[in-house]
Amino acid sequence: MKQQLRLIVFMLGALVLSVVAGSVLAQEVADGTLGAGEGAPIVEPNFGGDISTLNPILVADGPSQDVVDRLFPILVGSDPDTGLPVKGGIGAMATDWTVSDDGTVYTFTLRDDWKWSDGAPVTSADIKYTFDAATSGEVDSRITSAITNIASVEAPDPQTVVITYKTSDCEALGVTDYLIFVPSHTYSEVYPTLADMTADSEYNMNPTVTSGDFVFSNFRAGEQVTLLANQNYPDSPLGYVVPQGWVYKQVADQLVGVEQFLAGNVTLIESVPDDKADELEQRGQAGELIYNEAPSASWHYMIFNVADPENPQSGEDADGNLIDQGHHPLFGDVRVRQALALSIDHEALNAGAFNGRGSPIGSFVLPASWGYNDQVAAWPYDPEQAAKLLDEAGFVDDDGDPTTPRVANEKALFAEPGTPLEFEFTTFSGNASMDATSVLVQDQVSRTGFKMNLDIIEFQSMIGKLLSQKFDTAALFIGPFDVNNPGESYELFDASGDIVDSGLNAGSYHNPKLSSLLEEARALPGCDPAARKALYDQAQQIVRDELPVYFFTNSSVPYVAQADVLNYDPRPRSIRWNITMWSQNPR
Amino acid sequence: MVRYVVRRLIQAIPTFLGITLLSYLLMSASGNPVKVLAFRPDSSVEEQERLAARLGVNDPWLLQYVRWLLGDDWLRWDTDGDGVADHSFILPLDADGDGENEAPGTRRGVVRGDFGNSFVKKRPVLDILFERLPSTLELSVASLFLGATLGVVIGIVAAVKRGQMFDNFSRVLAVIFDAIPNFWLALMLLLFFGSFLKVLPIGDRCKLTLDDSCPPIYERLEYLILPVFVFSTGLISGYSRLMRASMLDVMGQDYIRTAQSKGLSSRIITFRHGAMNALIPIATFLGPAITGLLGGAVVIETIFNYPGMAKLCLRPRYLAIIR
Repeated sequence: MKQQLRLIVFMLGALVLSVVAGSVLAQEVADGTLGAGEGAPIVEPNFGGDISTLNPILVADGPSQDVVDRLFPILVGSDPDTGLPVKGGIGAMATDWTVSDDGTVYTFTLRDDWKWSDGAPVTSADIKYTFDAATSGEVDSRITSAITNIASVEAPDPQTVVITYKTSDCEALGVTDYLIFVPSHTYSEVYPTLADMTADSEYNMNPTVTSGDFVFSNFRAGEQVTLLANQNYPDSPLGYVVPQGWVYKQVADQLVGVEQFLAGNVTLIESVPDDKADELEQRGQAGELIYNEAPSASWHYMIFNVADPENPQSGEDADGNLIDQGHHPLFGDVRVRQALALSIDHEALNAGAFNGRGSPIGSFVLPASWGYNDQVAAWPYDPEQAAKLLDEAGFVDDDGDPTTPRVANEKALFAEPGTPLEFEFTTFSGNASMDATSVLVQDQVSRTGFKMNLDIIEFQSMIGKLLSQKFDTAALFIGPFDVNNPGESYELFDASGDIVDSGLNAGSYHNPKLSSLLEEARALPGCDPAARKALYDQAQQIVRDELPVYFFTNSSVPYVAQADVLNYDPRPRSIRWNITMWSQNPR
Repeated sequence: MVRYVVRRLIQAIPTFLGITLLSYLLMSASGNPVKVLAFRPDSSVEEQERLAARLGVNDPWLLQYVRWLLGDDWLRWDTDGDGVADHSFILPLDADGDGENEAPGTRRGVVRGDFGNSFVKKRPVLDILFERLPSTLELSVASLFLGATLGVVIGIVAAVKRGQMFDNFSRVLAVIFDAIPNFWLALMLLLFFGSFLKVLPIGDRCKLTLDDSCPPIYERLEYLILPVFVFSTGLISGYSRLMRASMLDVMGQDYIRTAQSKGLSSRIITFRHGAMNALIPIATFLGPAITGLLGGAVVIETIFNYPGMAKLCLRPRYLAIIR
């Protein structure tokens, strides 16, 4: 009787556990879902060029990373709804972890049912190999600079990983994204020494041992990368992988990509070009396809150079002391920056440059982030206030002709009297949205007495000019950011990132209070989200008011999928979280 | 004859050097590629310095050019086989001043067939180009063949039927096709035949397959129809007008009148005596036509999503490929 009772209790417990576990990512499986490998291959367009390597340690470009993501497991998974780390996340090895009291040692427990495609188990040695390679100094890896806060990675047993950080870091789990598991037993043979792990190794383009939801099949230069379903993948909600494969099809032109999608040759387009968005939205409403929009994870912004562009200096000397960088004659004065922001009509800009899909934003933290401060208002369009600020700042309309630029008088802080309110707006060529932004802003700000000269140059030259800090204002896109890590922008606002010819803080704005807030939020003992958000809230308000950068817009990015893909269930932070279930009849 | 050839080859050396110098100068003019390659928040100064050292972009420009052209295995080399350079020319043995000699140079330079690794793709440049060469060749050769053949035939017929409907019609069409931008025509044809009528594929080179196969060209002609047509319209226009003019010129020559007076048939006069001689100036048009094809391939390969070499040129960041 006791035994029966125990059995009943055990079964009930198991039932409850399975319900709880299932509810984490509960999804109803659609009727008609096909069997293992019976679904049409998922075809995604690759607008970014050929892959260059499929070795996760060497990856440095987007297309290669997209393929690598399908082939190798990561340590910590994320919730597809929030993007926040979650124990037992899909595609991840860690089922649980503990953190030491001082917040520097993370001990992860790994699952034991995951195998490489050659049958060898995935173990802690496989992530330690990645860390050792990236920190060896022998391998040219982008990972190296991303994990500088990790002191060591240890593998005391096959199912345990211990990561020790140099300092407490509330974003420690996010950093583990860089430590991808690789088949160390195979890599040790393919690359006898770490120095042999070079970019031109043939194995990089033909990985034979992987363990993602798909396995590598072939690469056709300029055409496609093809992966095949991995039916031994242990993390498919159905227990098997429905699509026959996953094809990353290179498409050079976005409009052609859309036409191929409409012809049914492509399953999903993650980033629809602006000029096709309206048409696809209408088709989505008509049920011809599945249309969704996601907030952009990138900045579209203008940097003000607040330091003297005639004599660029880094922010700090070798000992960390601040260096006098002088002031930009116009934008060294915050009132001039604010006047420029008040002169920009976002509504007109949104209609003319962003196809109506943008919304004004004043914060450097993106709205999709937990750290976003919705009380930080975007700069409004207020030419009268702009004129008033310019008058206060000593830039006056001396001839009564609104078509000529204002000039500085003796009240101007950093400009010689008689200096016209004229500046250069540097940006890159070949982007329709940026082209429209340049012309519209030039016209808008001219109405308040700014003369904006366009300097539209090739991208590489533009980055060179930006980093040289010999510019007045510069506009570009940057990102995508990890929206759950608001501190990622630290280098863009701190003196440590203000390095002539290499630092991202090219505008030379730094504010000790802002840096301190960002540092504190990142390393707050206990990492209480509410306390961290309060710190980030203050930081956002400072950046909004001090205006080292002006955000043109926060766009939404449309993405579409074929209407007949069953189980397609995009979530705010992940479109493909259940890709192994996507079921579409072969055409 | 041998002396003439040798003299011409020697004369070509400064031209070749000039071309390489100018090409490298243009590629370098866009700035330091490290700044773009490392333009992201998690990039450290150390990483950028390491990258710059690996790519050699901080070296004097002339040294970069010499390394690219002639290689560096003769600038710093290892004689005892320990993997560390023990002799050098121009370059210091210990470039970074860490007290240890550097590794020997491994580049053989463009003149010895070593184009090095792409800055962006990190793979051998020749591998990247050769992977795409077959696509560009099949597109260019097919277009050249179609363009030259049709152009010459139309030109001959137009000359023979001078002033008649065919002549006028072909001249008008030649002007129209010459005036229509390739990219516009390509998009219109794609939309009409691919999207609207759905009788031809919307770009690509082969049907999508999961294996690594692309059938032989004769089994996938439908993928060639539109790009080759668009590509060859300019050639047809050019060749037809050139051939017509050349043909009319030849047909006015004395030896043609002599042939006519001998009572030869008009077919023999037109084709054997007229067309054969009229083709001679046409041959000179081939050189510019081939270079024009390679230049035009950038647009055609992009719009038709054809995986050729020219498509690489469209990506500005790929400028770094040839360095």
